[in-house]
Amino acid sequence: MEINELTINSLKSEYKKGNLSPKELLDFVFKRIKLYDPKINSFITLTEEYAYKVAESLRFDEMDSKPLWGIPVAIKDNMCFRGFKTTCSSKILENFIPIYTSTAVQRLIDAGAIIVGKTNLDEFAMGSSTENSAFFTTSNPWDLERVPGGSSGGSASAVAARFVPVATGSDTGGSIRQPASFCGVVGFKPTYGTVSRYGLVAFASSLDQIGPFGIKVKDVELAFRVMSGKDDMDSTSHPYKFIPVDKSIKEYKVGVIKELYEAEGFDAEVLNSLSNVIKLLKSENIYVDVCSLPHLKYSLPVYYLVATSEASSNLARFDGVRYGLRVKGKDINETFSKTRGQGFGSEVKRRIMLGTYALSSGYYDAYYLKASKVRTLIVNDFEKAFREYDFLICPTSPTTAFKKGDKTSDPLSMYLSDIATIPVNLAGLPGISIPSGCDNKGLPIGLQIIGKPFNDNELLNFADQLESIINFETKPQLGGI
Amino acid sequence: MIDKETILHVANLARLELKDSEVESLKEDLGKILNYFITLNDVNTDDVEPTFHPFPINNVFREDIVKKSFPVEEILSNAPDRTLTYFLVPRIVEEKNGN
Repeated sequence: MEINELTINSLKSEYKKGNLSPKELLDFVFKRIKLYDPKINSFITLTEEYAYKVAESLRFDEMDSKPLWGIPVAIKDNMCFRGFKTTCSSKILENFIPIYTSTAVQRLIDAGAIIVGKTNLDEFAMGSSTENSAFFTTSNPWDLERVPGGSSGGSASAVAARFVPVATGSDTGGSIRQPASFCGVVGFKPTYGTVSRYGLVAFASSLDQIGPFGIKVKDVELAFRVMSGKDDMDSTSHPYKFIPVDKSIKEYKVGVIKELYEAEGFDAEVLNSLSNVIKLLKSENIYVDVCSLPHLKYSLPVYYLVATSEASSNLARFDGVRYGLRVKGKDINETFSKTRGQGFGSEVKRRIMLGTYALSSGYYDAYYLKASKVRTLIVNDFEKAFREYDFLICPTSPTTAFKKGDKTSDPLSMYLSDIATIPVNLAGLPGISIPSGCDNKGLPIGLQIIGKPFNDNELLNFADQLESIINFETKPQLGGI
Repeated sequence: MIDKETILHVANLARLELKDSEVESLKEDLGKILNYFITLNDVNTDDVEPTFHPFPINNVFREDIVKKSFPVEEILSNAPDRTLTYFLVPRIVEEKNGN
């Protein structure tokens, strides 16, 4: 085994054989990060001293009872981790040090994981390229000229560059699955509510969901099992219990979403990759057919009205009073306005403005309420499709990773890159992106698999078997660094 | 389309100070985005109930148990300005003579 294969199971097996210690693994991880990350910029903060202390404290006899014993993990920098900066890649929180740890992160720590750092993101998780960070842009390890996707681009690139086997992301409209697709790794957005959002800095509360990145589905499954389940600190969390399933992929019926490959903007090579997957499924005698979800074409406006409305409310807490940046004004209102005007970046301002407009008097019915009604029709479309199929598939993103700067001047074209992932959040469903091939530039293409609500265990079972059939083993060459 | 006055009104509601250049670019961007959103008018939603949350969650209650809160010193550790055990902010209520 090469150490930089870094799958959880392979590392644990090396630990058990006595071939590796957590300290030796950390030596390798931090050496690799210091060698390659100056060009990739996955991390905002490294927690080196803390990580070595945890490594020293791990007891060998607890390895079997702690599923992530000695596993290095990176955390998206919008999840609180007590004592370490949580910036959300925003100037307004540049020096914010939380006094508590988010439930998802605490559960990883309790399972023996070693947090090695906090990763870059689009400011407050708003974006599809990680170009909206107030600090720096992350590069795609497959091609440094290109974006890693967003908003969890730092976490996706950290896994793709084999710095860590697992990283956390948050997914409001595709922010785990789209960067996973761009970076050739696995990204899983679980059913809404299965992982507590306590300690996740809120963007759009009815859509936000924490989930893991990994190189293989099995690792993502393990991290999800650790993080999921009821949390008294989040009243919207669900008493979900993961029950492993042992069911052959041949027993499942698969629908290919017509609206998410016939729409404009899907690259021919992305569609070719989908066709190849369909051929592979059919060659295994798995039932595959085309299905139509007619209201999916309205997902983008629905999402941007709902998400920005919720964001405008959630981000009201950043006023310079209790934490974060404060820019003094002559009175309290001017202090609020100056703080927020100077603390937020342009995409965050755009979304706050859009959300405030959609909720404001005279426009609420025409925008927010209308969008919430069309959201019902999208949910109904999924319910109908799932009466016939166990899983739905489509490309994760219409294109492979685009070049930095290509879409920054046109917000609408940037928003379109999430067209295939957004409907899943609106309906609260589980969705996973697995690599399905590469385009002619050698850039990875992602396949999205969507499951029924709270059927995350079967979705992961299906994805794991399909991953073996696709057999994607290509790795980034770290852009010739 | 959206005009400058509307942008300034919404920015005031959102407590966002904007530079002139930002007002101009927001006018253009929001105009384009809202124009694209008009497609929603094609959908008949006459008898459709809105969805505000993926799953129906009604009031969630917990037992009324007294628990320890975070220590005041920790709560104030990130405060940009403070005095004793309070957050310090500019005066909110003005005196009668306007001072």
